[in-house]
Amino acid sequence: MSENHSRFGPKNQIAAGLFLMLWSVIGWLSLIGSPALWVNEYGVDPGPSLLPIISLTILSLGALALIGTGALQTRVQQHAGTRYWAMQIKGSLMPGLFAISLIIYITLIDVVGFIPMSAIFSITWMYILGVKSGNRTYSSLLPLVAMGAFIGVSLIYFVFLYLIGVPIG
Amino acid sequence: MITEFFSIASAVATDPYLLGLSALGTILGILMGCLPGISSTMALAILLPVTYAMSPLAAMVFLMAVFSASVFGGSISAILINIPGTPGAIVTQLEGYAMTKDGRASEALTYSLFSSTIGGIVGLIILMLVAPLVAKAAMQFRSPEFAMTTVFGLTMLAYSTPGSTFRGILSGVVGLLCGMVGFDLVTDVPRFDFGTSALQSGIGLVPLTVGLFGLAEVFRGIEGGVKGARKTPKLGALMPSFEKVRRLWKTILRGSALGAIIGAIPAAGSAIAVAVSYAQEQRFSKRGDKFGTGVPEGLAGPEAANNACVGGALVPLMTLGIPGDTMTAVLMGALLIHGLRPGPMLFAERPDFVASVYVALFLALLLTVVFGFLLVRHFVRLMRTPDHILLVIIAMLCVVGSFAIRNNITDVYIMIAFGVIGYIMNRLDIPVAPLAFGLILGPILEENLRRSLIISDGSWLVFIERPIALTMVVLSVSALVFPLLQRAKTLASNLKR
Repeated sequence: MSENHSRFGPKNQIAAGLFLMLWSVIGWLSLIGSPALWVNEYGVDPGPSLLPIISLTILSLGALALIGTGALQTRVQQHAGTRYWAMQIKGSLMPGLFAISLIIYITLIDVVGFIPMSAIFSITWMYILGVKSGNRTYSSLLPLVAMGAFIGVSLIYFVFLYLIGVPIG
Repeated sequence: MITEFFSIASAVATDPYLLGLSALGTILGILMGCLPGISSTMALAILLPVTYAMSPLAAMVFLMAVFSASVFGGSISAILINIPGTPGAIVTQLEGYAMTKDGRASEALTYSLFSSTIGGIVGLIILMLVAPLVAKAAMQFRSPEFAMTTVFGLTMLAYSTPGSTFRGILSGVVGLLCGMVGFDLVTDVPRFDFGTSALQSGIGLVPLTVGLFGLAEVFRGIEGGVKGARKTPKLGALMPSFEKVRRLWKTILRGSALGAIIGAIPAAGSAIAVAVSYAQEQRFSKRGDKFGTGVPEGLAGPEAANNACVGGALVPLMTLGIPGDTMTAVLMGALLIHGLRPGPMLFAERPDFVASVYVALFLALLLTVVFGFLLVRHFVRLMRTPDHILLVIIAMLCVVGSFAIRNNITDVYIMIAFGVIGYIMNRLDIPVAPLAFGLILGPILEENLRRSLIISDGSWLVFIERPIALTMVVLSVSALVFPLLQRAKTLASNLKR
């Protein structure tokens, strides 16, 4: 409900500002590159560019404010962590790999088929994440992973492909 | 409305297909709600694509069951393993888990089930009484009022989102921009499509919500360290003595009334309702000093408030077209997918459908009691599913679910993109919920904003000349300025130091 300042360090402010600034830059580039949006031939209708301009202006100013606040805080708090960016990237490595594997998975579904590709994807990741959880031995993990993958893939196949008729794979 | 309620109720009660859907939705709702890592919003987002092929009535029956049952499901994990399944179950764990540690897990679950059901019914009654009145008043609304109500809704949602209001608003603006991708509805001019045909049809609500609330949570789960199988306590008999429940009736009614009222305030949400209810019960109870050690009043009040919020949150959604929280935002998406726009006109044009929402909620509440008692032991067993199995299955569900809406692979890529965006936003402490609200409310805002300016010959004064619109403007500006003032004050004191 309220602003929680202690959570947002200067690096976080700058990173959040840059992230939102990226959105606004992409938006402005698209808007400027669409001449049809700037034509004033809609009579009393303010036209399709009104809300995009308002939104992008708010977003750009907001992002600038975050970056500015972050920069100001950096000057105030000299101890702002220098390893921030490295830690951010290191922490996101596993989710990043998961996202890339998802893209490979959906690309290959068309080639290999839904069931074999889903089985490969689920067994691989259930095993990797199971090992990461560190609570089980390798040998005890395999039957659990096999059962989990079988139930998961069967359920999705039955509900989406068989009952609803989704033409995937 | 009462006549419609009973005629729809009898139609649903005698239709095995609808009854079956409600039962399935209830079971899935309780199950997904009690699985740690799956919130009610995520459950709704993942199951929304399943309803695409259904009729609007069937879809509502199914989704209302998931919505209502997942709220109780969230309490199971809060009581048994001290992990709230939903934001509304945050307070439940305080007394509930203390009772579990004391060997009274079954008693806590029974109190939760009774209170949730009564709370849900009170919330439904308040919805049925208040919604037609609000809808009638909202019939006076014209474009300027609708435009400013939408702005107010967006601002309040950003204000109530945990974290920074300022970041919440910027997140909402990103959502507005996402909602503008594709052809403009009035002039047919393409916007933000980058010359690709894939984006010309716009960004669908389902890929966005599934990505933000489903896949992003999977990424967070992977990042946060995967947990193995959880230990759950053994359960005894689930029916406490009548006397024990009777002693709590005042507590349950107080919690229910509070929950329904707070839930009806746009964006207030269940977390606030349960916190207020807990504080109130602590004040009223003779054992207030013992709260935190397993006092039933501290469990029953907030649980009733939590479920009463369901009916309350439906008031602004059904009458004004403003979702009260993330769950109702997904429900609104479901209505839009089925060609129904919530708002006062829905009451005028489709009273039968409004009645069917009431019936669906009532049925879901009844079935939650039935399946809660019958199947709770099985749900508890499923809670032991290790995260590494669960997360991978959820990810595959996200892929197939987002594809199922239009049988379009682009939607899957959009879903993954928003999963990554949601994950990055979480890491950067930018709230994701306003982004979804922005996407839903953006087209409504744009349509009414432009129409207002057309009516007023381009004069922006139209938004301050009309009393209701002006009130909405003042409230929105206050919600914006208040946190900024707080922020400036803190920054000034930091600089001083």
